[in-house]
Amino acid sequence: MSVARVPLTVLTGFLGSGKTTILKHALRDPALAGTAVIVNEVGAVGLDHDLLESAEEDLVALSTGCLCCAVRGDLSRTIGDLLARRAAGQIAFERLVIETSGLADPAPIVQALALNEVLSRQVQLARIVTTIDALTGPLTLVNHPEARKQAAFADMLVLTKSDLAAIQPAATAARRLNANAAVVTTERGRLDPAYLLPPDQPSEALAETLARTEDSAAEHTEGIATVTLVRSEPVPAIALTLFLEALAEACGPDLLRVKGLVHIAEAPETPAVVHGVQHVFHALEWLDAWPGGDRNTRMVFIGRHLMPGWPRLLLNQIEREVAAASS
Amino acid sequence: MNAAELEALLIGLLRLWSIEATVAVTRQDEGLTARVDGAEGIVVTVEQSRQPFGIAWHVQVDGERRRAYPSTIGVIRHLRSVLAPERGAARVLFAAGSRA
Repeated sequence: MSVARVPLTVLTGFLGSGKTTILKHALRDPALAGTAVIVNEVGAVGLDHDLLESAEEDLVALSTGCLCCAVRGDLSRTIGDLLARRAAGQIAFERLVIETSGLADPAPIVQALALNEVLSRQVQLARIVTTIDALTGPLTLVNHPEARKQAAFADMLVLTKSDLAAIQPAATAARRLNANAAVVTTERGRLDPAYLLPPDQPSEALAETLARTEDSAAEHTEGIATVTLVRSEPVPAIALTLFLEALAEACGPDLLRVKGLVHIAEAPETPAVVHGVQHVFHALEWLDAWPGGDRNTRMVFIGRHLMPGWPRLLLNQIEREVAAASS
Repeated sequence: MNAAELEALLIGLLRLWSIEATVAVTRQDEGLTARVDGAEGIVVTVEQSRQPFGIAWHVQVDGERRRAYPSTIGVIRHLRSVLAPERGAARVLFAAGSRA
């Protein structure tokens, strides 16, 4: 039996970029009633969670796992605990928001959700929102690899402190790292809470983003490139699997994110949504129909040193090998 | 795959691994042969040919046994182990489905 999963938004961003301020304002909005918040901080004594005021104190939890492999266990336990209390009727919430620490690598967090067999059935990643300080962001993105990774992973880039600085330099720097994410700005930490809410249909939201994707060359900042692939020919399912395997084999940890809407040869009427963080891929999701009727496969790859056109070359070759082996 | 595509595939790999090397591809009777000259004197030969059972790859590092692979994945793995051994393997993990 299929059970509706709890949507989860990851709010990340470099130190001082305004995550807690945004969340503090947003939690006062009735639109975010029924939101459980997990504040992930490094160290046993955290402060950020004390700065958050929720209508229900029970809905703010602290996760203190250091942001490496340890986070998986700690974060999974924290989410699991919230879900258990919800199931027991002790608390009620409809969605989850994780505020990461400023030095967090979002990958282990997303992977923790995907790889935990129990959690992956109960929680669904809705979006990754990354804050970037309009004033200090351009320099931070140059000097701190953590900040670049946070930007590269985002579904949505939030440019904060637009009341203090022009947003264009930060927007340009962020866009170079992640050409496909939506970009919004905030002033004094006030973000429309809708941006923290899950899209009505996460897969369809991704499809909409990808519908704007055109086959393009990569842009580069500090070696991180966004490469897009658009193709009209359907992809055999086995070729897609082998392609992702080859891509991970080649790129290793430098493959940061893969998003895609794929025309699978065996299921031409129902596009498959591909969603991967580094080498961990969520189970394929299937849309009921093609958004807008465009049946082209559209994929976005974000990684270090990716050469424009290279994923397409690899996919074509894998496809030829599959065809030759089955002929 | 033509010679230009094989060259681009290999150059793309070298770039991913930040390796200084040159690639030269020639067409032989049965397929393509690429010679990769690494900056540290490593020479790797990559051959691709069409066989009755499908596409075959062969990789040979100077002085070592020539190895055969049925797919690009095996070739990438071998090349990485020779040219960029410091880079760890990254095997794809597919997460459990929501309706398992």
